[in-house]
Amino acid sequence: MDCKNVQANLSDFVLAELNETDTLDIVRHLASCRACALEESETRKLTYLLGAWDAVEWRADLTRRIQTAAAQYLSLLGQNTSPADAEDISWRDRWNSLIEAVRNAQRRCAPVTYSMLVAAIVGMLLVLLKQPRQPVDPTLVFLAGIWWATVANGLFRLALSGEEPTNGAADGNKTKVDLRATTIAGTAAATAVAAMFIGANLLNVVEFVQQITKNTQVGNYVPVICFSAASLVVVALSISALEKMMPHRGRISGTLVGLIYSSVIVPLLYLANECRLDPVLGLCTLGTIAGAVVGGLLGDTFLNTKTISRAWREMEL
Amino acid sequence: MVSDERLMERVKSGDAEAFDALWQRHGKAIFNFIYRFVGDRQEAEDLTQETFVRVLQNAPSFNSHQRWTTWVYHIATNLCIDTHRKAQHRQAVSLDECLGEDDQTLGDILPDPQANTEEMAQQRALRRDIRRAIRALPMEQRMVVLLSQYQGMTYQEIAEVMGCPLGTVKSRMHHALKALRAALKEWM
Repeated sequence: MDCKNVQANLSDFVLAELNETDTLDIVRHLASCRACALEESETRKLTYLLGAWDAVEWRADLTRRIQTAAAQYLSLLGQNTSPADAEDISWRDRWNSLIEAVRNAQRRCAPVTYSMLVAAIVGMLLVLLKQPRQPVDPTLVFLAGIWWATVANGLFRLALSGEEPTNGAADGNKTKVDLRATTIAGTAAATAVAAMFIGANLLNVVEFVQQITKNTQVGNYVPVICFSAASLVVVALSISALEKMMPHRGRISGTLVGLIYSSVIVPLLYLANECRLDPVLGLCTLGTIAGAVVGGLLGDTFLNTKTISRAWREMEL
Repeated sequence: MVSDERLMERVKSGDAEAFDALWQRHGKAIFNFIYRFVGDRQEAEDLTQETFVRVLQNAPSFNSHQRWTTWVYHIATNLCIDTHRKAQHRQAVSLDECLGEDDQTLGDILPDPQANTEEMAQQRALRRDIRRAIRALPMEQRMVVLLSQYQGMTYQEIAEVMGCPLGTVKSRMHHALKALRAALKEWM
């Protein structure tokens, strides 16, 4: 990082709002640049100075005023709650606590971990549901991928992000598009689809191992390597295009998931498929990745079109 | 401890104790946020009351998936912005008029046995300069500084409260700190 970049990011650095890589870059730069170190020390001193503006106390009657004003609204709210509503609230309470717990867990998870968890759950379900040794129908897998990406993942993300599909009446209920969450949703969906393929092949593990041991000649792996490389390029280009459109954190995670998918999962799929280059499965895989990414984006945000267009306009400005 | 969101669910069914608990937890912080923004104690008290009334008015539409603090600060922020715009429109009160002794803290008034008079005078002068510098910032930058420095919010939380992209928050903070550094140069 050069001085210009460091100084542009100094306030974020002092407020601990930078990611680990940028933070380390700045720390290294500050150790060797006296001018930037001075800037950093002054910014830090400023944030310390600002702390001198203490909190003030309100006048004693404010609490009473608020309690009086609140009483009439509280009685109205109380009247609106019938016994049936109370039962409903209790049910909602339980549901909300569950969602809250999942959301908190998801907040603490790195995007890659979240994607992997989703993938693992979907993969396990497929293994449990699949009839032993039944061949996989690529169309079904493709449809399942699209369904997962557009409906389940989209709704799941909407529920987790706590966003309303439409603008609420309350001031605080206006929806916001969460671009980071959207990308995570896309990568999660892509990984989930990959897991479906793996899950579908898990029960053929004996054949899978036999095929690997049989195909020891390098030539046998050429189609796999070619497909893997092509897939890598497609995924990398897609993610790069998305990043350009949506500059925000989470891009590294998206790229990592893409790389893992392309370099590890796809070759394994082809090995599992008796090392033959199957054009149908190949197209399905590519189509499903694209479908999953696009579906993840749509599913996550299709109810928020107005907010998205506003966000785009703001970004353009 | 019961979460704010759970308390708000209870408020929805008319539970006064839950409302009191929310007020006790967040009242002072919200009042101070508004006060620092508008610079007038009476107006800050009125707006704090209005914020909590709106919390009740909009209680049925509160979605417990969202964070209560983000929701309530969004309401408070909107009220502050509306007030600021109306004040600008009227052009009745200048910024310096807000800087009376009205916003002295208890620490300003009560003598600190550990501090000498000169130190106290210096502290008062510093507080006055900080208030002036922050209130001289453009409205959006002032909001970002207050939410970050005094409410301890992250950029992401500020972006949610203000309904703007994360990059906008970063940029406002950058410009605000730059302006504050220039304004408070003599203290650094």
